[in-house]
Amino acid sequence: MHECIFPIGPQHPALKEPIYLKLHVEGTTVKQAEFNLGYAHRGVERISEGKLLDPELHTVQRTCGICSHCHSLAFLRAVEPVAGLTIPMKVKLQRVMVAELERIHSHLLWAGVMMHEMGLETLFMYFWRERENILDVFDELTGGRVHHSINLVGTMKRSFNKENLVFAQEKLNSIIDRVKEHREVLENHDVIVSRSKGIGKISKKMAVDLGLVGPVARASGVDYDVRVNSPYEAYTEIKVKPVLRVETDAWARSLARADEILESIKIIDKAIDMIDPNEELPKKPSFFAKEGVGLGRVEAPRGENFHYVKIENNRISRIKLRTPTLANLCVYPKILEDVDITDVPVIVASLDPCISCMERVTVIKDGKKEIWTTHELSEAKKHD
Amino acid sequence: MSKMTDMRADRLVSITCLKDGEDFKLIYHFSLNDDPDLIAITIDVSKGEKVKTIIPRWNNALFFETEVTEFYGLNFEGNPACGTRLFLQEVEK
Repeated sequence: MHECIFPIGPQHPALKEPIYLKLHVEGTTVKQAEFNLGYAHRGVERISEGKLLDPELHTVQRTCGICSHCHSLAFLRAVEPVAGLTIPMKVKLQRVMVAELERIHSHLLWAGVMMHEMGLETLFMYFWRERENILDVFDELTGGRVHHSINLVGTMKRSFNKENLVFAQEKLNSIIDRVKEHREVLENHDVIVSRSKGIGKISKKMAVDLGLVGPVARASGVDYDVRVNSPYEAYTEIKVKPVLRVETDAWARSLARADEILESIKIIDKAIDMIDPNEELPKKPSFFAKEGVGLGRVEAPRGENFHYVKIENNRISRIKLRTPTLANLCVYPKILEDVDITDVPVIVASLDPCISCMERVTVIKDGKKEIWTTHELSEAKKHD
Repeated sequence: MSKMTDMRADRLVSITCLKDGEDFKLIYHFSLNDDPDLIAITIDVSKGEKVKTIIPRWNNALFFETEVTEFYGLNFEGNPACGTRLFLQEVEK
């Protein structure tokens, strides 16, 4: 049969972020999938080099617009031990609370996008309506609906008081029943089941071989969650029950994320119970991290987020960010082989890619020769 | 490198490249399911030296190695994606 190339993107209504998919199709069957990246590249790693640790936090957390807190948390997990800082339990609890709110927000946003890909616009609006409640909680707790910027090296900018915690609890209580209803719809709705059940299967062996992370791996039965396997912050006190599934398809990934929302609400409830609303947080400590290397790993909404930070004289010598989408990237060509072209949007959405998050990497050489400095990067930005 | 591919590790977490004067350092981070800590292995790479790929043992090294190739110019022997751009392929044309 005649083979032709079907291009999708980089700008396309079905894509929430720019990626160029080149599908080699025979009839309506995809025989090979290639992709091209780089449209959302901002050079975060390069910009960070040579910066002081404190102001650098602002750059790092802007790597992603959905999991900004997780990026700052991974960065702090790398930096704070090198700086010799001890973190009070209230700070740890507040950090966990914001991280779990971010997971709920990310999964609700994803669910809306997934419904949009299936043509279910009403459900898209329902999921995003629930997400608005979480954004309101962010607004109340941190002052920022998307970029929270609440972390500081060694502490946090705000101490959550009783009114903040009551507001968060009420908002979560208001959505929990509706989230359970939506989960039932994800599980049983005829259109959702027919569009996602048995589609985009990733066997447990494939997930292990490819080193997949996050809900994508857990929906294939891989029992790995950084919060459980390498507990950090207040996860040492609050136990997390990882959501595992065995169906391995796009449907399983949907249900895994829906169940993670409910699990996150339980974690936040426990954190609220443990937070002393009258306790004040310590002021921003003064520190000098002379030299060292720090590693930070956190369980971001999409999976393990890894930061490598090399420090010299309180400044960043090198930072490397390995986002969950980069870890899951290798499954795309495999999962899109021999599928019907109409299933491609659903399969891609089921993996919940965050392209902007992934394309943070440093531009050192464009193949052979050119090295970009911070100044050149900012100049390039001016010419955009 | 051969010792590295034989060692016990459940997952390759990341490959980080550091510039060391004219030369490079490659840091491989691995995780074990039953250990909260990571394993880090650093190898020194001279300018122009080829590094053996670890894709046969850890499939997810494909894009980590390709990324290092693209930004630092290091070549990984046996990596099928080496020589093709990961980012903005049309820029090359």
